[in-house]
Formats: sequence, C-alpha cells, structure tokens
Amino acid sequence: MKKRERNRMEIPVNRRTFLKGAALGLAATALPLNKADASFWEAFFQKYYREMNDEEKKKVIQRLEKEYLQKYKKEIKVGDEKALPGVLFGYGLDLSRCIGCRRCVYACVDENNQSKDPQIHWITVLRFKKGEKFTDLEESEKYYNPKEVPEPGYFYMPVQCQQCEKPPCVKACPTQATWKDPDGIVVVDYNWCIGCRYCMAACPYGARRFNWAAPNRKPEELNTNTHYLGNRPRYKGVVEKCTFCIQRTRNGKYPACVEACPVGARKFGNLLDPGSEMRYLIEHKRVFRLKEDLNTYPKFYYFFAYGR
Amino acid sequence: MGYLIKNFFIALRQIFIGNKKYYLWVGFLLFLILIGASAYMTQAARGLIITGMRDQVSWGFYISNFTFLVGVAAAAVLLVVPAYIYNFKPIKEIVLFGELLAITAISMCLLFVMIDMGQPLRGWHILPIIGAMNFPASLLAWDVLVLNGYLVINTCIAFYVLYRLSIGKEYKMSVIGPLIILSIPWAVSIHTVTAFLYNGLSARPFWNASILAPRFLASAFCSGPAIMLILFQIIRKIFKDVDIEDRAIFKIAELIAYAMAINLFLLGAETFEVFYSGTIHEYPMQYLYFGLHGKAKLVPYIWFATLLNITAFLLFLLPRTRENFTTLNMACIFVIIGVYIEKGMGLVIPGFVPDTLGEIYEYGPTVPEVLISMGVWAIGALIYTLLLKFAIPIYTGKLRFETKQQ
Amino acid sequence: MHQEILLNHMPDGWCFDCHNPDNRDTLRLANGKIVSFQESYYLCAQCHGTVFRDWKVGLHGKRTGMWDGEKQYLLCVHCHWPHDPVFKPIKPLPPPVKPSDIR
Repeated sequence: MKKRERNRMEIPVNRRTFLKGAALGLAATALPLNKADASFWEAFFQKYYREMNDEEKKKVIQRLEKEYLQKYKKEIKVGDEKALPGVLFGYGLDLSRCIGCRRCVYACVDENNQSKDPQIHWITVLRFKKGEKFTDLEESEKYYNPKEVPEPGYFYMPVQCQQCEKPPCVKACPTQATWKDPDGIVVVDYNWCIGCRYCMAACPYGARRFNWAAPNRKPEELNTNTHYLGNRPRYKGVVEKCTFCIQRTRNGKYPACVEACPVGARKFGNLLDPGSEMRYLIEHKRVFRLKEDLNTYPKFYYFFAYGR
Repeated sequence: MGYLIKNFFIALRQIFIGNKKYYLWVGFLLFLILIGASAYMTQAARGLIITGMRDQVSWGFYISNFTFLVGVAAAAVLLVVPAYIYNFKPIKEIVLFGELLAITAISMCLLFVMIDMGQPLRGWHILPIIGAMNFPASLLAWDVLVLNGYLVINTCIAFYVLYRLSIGKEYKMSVIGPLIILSIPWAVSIHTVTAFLYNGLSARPFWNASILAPRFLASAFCSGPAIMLILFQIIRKIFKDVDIEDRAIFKIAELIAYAMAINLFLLGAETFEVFYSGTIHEYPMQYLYFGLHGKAKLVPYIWFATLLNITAFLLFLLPRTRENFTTLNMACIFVIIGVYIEKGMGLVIPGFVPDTLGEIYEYGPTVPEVLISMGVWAIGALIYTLLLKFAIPIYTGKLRFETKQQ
Repeated sequence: MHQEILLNHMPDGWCFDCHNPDNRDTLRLANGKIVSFQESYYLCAQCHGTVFRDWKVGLHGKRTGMWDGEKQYLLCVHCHWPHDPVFKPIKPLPPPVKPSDIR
C-alpha cells in the first residue's frame, strides 16, 4: 500500500480543484472577447503578408483604416501598390554639395509620419572635419548645431537606409518581417515584426529605428497618403526605417528628401532604365558606397560632382 | 497510463509539503517574482522605453542575462551527461541535478527573450509552418529551434530517469542512450548557435571575430559547473540522504580550472590581436577596458571581473585551495560573478559602442530593468526548487509508486 | 540707377559680359550670339560646361516632379542669383535628441 501524504496546509489539491482553477483562469483570459473589437483577434491572427492573396490584403487594409480612423479621427488611406516591373531604385548623394542643413531629415519626418516624442529621425546627417578621418565614421559628429551651415572646414554626409542588395537585416530577421521587394526597397511589415531588434544589431549603417514607446504624432500632423509597407502610423515595439518613400516612388514621384534638398544634393531614379539620371550617375561619376568591404551592395551611391 | 498520471500528481503534491524554511524560501521567491511582474506590467504598458536601451545600444541587460544563462544550460548537461556513458559513479549520482539545472536555465533564457521583445504576443510569428520562421538564414531561428529542442531533450531524460527510479528500477540504456548521445552535441550546439548569432553580424566588428564561439564555450564551462558546485553543497546539506561525494565536487572544480585557463588564454589572444594591430576595431575593447573619449562606464566592472576570474583560476588550480571548502566556495562565487559580468554586459554592450555611425551611448540598466530581471531569476530559482522538491523524494527512494504489477 | 548693383561673379566681371547692351531684354554670349532669358543656360554653360553637361542629363540641381515621367527643368537662375551666385550659409534645422534624453 502506498502512503498518501496529506499536505500540511490541508488545501485540497486534487484533480477537481485543479480543473476548476484552470477553467476560471481560462475564462479570465477570454475577457477581451467581450470587448467590442473583434479586430483585436483579427490583428492577432493576421497572416504573413507575403502569403496573403489580394482579397485578404484588402480586408487587412480595411481593418487598418478603420483602426486609424478610430484612433486619430482622421481618414488615413493605406495603399498597397506593388513594385513596378522593370524598376530597381537607386539613390545618389552629391557630397560636394550637402551643406548639412537637415531639411531632408525633417521633410522625411513629416512625409513619413515619424514619431515626434519619442523623437525618430530616419535620416542622420554626419559632420566631418576636412583633412581628418572620413570613411571611419568614428570621428563624425551628428549633434552639430552651429548658427549657420555649412561651417568652414567641415563637410556633411547624410545616412539613411541604404536599401542593400544583400541586406544583412533581411538575413537576420527571424520572422521574415523584413524583406527586399522586387524594386529593391527593403520593407518592414509592422504587423508581423516581433520587436526582437536583431535586424538593428545586423544593420551596418544604423538605419533602423525602434519604437521604444508608442509613437506620438498629433493627428493634424499626419500625412494621410500612406502605404502598408511604408509610412502608415506604426506601433509601439516594432522596427521602422526609410523606405525610399514607397508611397510616393511607386506612384512615380520623388522621395520627400530629394525634393526638400535646397542645394540639389540628392538624386533618385530607376537603375534599370538606361536613360535615367541614376544610370548616368553611376556610369559617369566616381561613385562609392559606405562600408563596401561588408559586401552589402547598397543602392545608395555617394559621389562628388564638381563643386567648391 | 492512468497509473502514470496518478503517480505524477502524487509526486506533484510534494511541492506543497515542506518545513518552515521551505515555505519562507518559496514565499521570498514569490515576493521577488511579484515585484518583477509589476515592473514588467509598466514595461508592457509603456514599452521598452523604461529600459536604458535606445537605438544606439538596442540590446542590453536582458540579453546579457540570456547569454550567460545559455552557457550555464550547456555546461550543466555537458559536464555530467557523459557520466551515463562512462559510469564514473560519483558523478553519475549528480547527473539528475545537472539536468534539472539545465531545464531551469533554458526556461530562464526563454523568459529573458520574451521580456526583451517589443511585441511578445506576436511570438508565434517565429514558428515554422504557422509563422514564417526564417530558417536557415537567421541565427535567431536556429536558436529558437536548438533551445526548445534542448529543453525537450532534457525534460525527457530527467523525467524518464525519475519515472524509472520511482518504480524502483534503473533506467534502460537502450531508451536513454540515444537521447544522451543526442544531447551532448546538442549542448555544444546551443551555445555555439548563440555565439554565432553574435558572430555572424558583419556590422559589429567586436563580435565578428572567430574567437567568439570558443570563448563562449570556455566561459560557459566555468560558470555552469560553478553554479552546480554551490547547488550540490546546498542540496546535500538540506536533503541529508542525498549522497554527493567530495570526489565528484573536486573533480568538477578541477575541470573548471582548465576551462578558465582556456578562457583567460583566449582573452589574452583577443587582447593582443585587437591592441597590437591597432585598427579602428580596437575601439570597442578600448571602451570596455580603458574608456573611449572620456566615456568609461564599464571600465571598473570589467577589471573587477577580470580580477575575480584570475583569482578564481588560481584557487581552482591549486589542490590546496580547491579541496578546502571555504576557498572552493569563494572561487565559485568569484567565477560566477566574473563570467556574469564578462559574458553578459562585457560582451553585449561593447558590440554597440561605438555604434555603426561612430556614436558612443553609455548604456546602463534602469531600475525597472533590474527588477524585472531579478523577477526572472527568482522564477528560475523557484522552478529549480520545485523540481528538486518533486525529484528528490523519488531519487532518495522515499517516494515509490504503484505499478501495473502491484 | 544701376549704381547700387553689386556684381560678385567672375573676377573683374562687368555687366556686358552677360547683358546685351543693345537690347536689355536679351543676353549676349561671348561669341556675340544673342539668347533670350529663357535660354540663359547657354550663357552659364560657357564657363560652367561640366555643370551644364550634368544639368542636361538631369543630374544637377534640385529634382522635382516624376522620376519616371516629365522632368521639370529649372533654369540656372532659379537657384543661382547671377549677380551673387554663391549660396549663403543658412540656419540648420535642430539636431536630433540625444538617446540619453529620450524618456
């Protein structure tokens, strides 16, 4: 006969009480079901974007637009324009002209609905002293704040997502929440990202930003023309970055930073079009890319045209 | 089958039976867990902004703890599992406790990863088939597979052994042999995969050095067994009928000495390469040991850790100090703290300093971060306590079950 | 009337290096050819040939419009004031917030 030891506290821990407790516990977790948003569960079970057919994508976008309307009391259009065929976007940056005025930074912030508090900037402008280290980046300064730019003896280099052809972030992401679309833009699905930040460790250019808190932007400052993979309002705990203004470029327009630059330092176009200015650029100017030794093959080309 | 479930619940009841010290200990752990949980509630509400992590240093205290604990889990099993095969009796008896430590450590690792995620509810996205696991490209996907697989293997081995013991029998080598054969390379692999996930990032030159994986394993073999030595002494003191021979303890201590020797040698090798070549890749190590551009937050900690490691190495090496329990326990504490600092913050933070655009952000964990981590450690301690409470009566023969034959 | 005009372009430059003295609504090239104000780029191209070459391809200056469609070409003078063409320094927009200041 086995000895059944009675437990000292006389708590009847047998199968019955265990099951009762478990049932109560489960019931407690079912409470969100009572809340009006069945959309909470829709959002939770949302499929992987690249495995959705057009029908499912439309439903997701409808749900998102409804959520945004509820949250911001504003109609936000979420587009899902696909990559245009025969297009591979390239970007050119003329280092002989950048004056470090940061107008690109703030044009991007407004176009792409970046959070104001906590502050997120997709573009970082680095300042270098002439005659000292350049491609090392270690001696650069990003918090410069003089009365006027350009300062004598310094030059400036903006850095943003380089849209690499062999992106280390895409390789690193454990859930495939970030991938390279056919037109070369590396995109993030903000509803799939789990916020592990491995991609941020993997990016050699410091291009990715994390939403450490819920992004904060006043509804009247929202750009309502958005893209699912681009500038739609994001969430706490997901990663975001420059998308070459996917909502603009897939509709034929220039990215906001290109149009904002007052000195014409920024160039953009289709690398696969032999007549485009980008093709001319990489074929005739002496272009280089950042950290080429890492073999990431960025599509963000830096060059020096003639200048002072 | 019915007997199995009934016996399982009988053993489970052991968790609720204990003396006053036991209740005090569990109560204390529950208190710590409560503090950690309430701190985590604020993190779940506000986001990871309550930590010290920012874009420049995007991994911090949580992942430091994770890295340290993966090493503990790997070493716990790797050291003792061969006992099943080589039948070195003194170690054979303590295999079970090592396995239970491995289970605990892996559970803590999984918890640390979960609290570090920005969207933990979306964790299922990482699974294959129902999610979109990026296998084989992403090392994090590999880590998910090997860590969970390791947990399953160890749980199977431990509970099979306990089950056989509980019905008064020895384990069958034919059942456990294949699992053990599998678990040895698997233990090496969990730590190698974790090392690789740092190692593969070309963006971080501090980690992108082939010495990283060997150093991980060497330091794991120091910290894991040291924790086990402390635990074994506690176990044999509390459970008077558990017999853990001094011979086993001293043998393990000797192995720690060799592991630390390798660890210190590899540290020397890394230091030479970085500082002698004098390229820009020396900056992270310079930040760690001497400070960079006046920023020197980690410097006192790493020197303290290095001092502890060297002292512990000497204490473990000399038989006079190794076989004296006072100095032995001192050495264990030293090595645990030393490796915790060196492999935790001392590994993760310099990878991000200077960051990819040359900026130096001095990360330090915030109070909520420390409280949440403490809560996870308390959960680990509680898991190990409850596992022991469940396992030891079976192990010592106090608890035996009815079987189909009876 | 024209005394207050300050010319800060070209060493020892003077008005009629560019302006047509016979018809003030036109410009005059170095070889005597007359161009309208709408084609002033020919004038600038005389000395700034490399820039002109880039500009013709769409590689010089501010880009606006459609990258794949109709390009909008701005004249040189849209951005560069010919009497004093060097861009003056401007006030930069604020630097980013330091990570230690983000709460």
